[in-house]
Amino acid sequence: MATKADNKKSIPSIPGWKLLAETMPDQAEVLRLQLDKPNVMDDWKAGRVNLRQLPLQQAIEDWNDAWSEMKSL
Amino acid sequence: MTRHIDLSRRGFLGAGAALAAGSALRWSPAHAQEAQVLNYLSWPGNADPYLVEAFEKENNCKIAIKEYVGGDQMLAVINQSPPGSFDVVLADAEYLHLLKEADFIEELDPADYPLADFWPEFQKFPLHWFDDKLYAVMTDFGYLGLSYNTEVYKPEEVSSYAAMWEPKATGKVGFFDWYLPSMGCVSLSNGNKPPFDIDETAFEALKQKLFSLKPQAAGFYTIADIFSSLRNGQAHLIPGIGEWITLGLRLDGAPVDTILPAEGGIQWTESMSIVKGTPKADLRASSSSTRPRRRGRW
Repeated sequence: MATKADNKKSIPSIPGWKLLAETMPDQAEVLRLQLDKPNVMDDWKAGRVNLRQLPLQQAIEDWNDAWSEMKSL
Repeated sequence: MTRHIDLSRRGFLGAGAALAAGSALRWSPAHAQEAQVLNYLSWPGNADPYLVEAFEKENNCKIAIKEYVGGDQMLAVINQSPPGSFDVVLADAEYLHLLKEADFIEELDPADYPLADFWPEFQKFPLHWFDDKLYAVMTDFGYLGLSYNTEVYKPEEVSSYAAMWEPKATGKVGFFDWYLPSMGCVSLSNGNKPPFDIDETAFEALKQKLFSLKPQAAGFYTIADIFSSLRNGQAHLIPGIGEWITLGLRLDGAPVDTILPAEGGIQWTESMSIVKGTPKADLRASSSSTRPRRRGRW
């Protein structure tokens, strides 16, 4: 999953990170999935990441309408 | 020895395999009744033999994929399909509560999945649990921030989303034509944390901030257009995308990168669930033979 050529992704499994580092270290490096180096989890731990969610206090349509209005300006 | 298809379904989730069917089977309603076909509803790009070939061989099954683009389309496909059309669904985590409310996905037994192997931050991922019951397993994730042309911008010039409003960016800000990630970044730039949980006052302010970006716009893009606009320089900045696009381009020689600006980034999360109402046999078969192999898979 992580190493698909046209769509590289991060994975949540620590053993998965270890296996990637053992078998495809170049991929582990570019994906920042290295346990012993600065990695993608640093951003999480630093509180710099917010979960993508659907709007909680407005209807989805309200946000969609705002987006459409912006595009039509 | 032929494995039972339901073992395949759970193994499929546990492996975090992304499915698909590039050369594999395209989904059709007829497959719903076929015992050795796993019917899979997913974003495009997961239909790649690279991801599923081994799984299909191990489980003596075929994966038939129905692709959708965006959560709204996924919900439409579900609503238009008879029960039993799909066995598993890969969804953006923010849509799971809608799938749960629609009674479309099954409760999962956490013991069936190697959640303890996950980073602690993801072991009880809030968007997967409802009433303390598990309904999805994370397969992959990534961050969205501000992607930029590295021949035009230095990292310090894009350390804030404010770069999008600078004269240098006029006519050069591209947008993924999906309100959620794009407006999420603008919401962050307006100081909203979390960016999607804002009151009406903050929402009105977000709209005005969003509208003020229009003169900067290079275009509103599909995923394919995002790739080409970054390659050909039509867009120098794109908010709300990330390394899922720019890493592949960069490895291919394009001068692009993604930064999480000081205001923060957004995590997308892909999660897999078992669909309710499939005609496939019971899910009670022991997964003990597959669980150890799931551990460590990526």
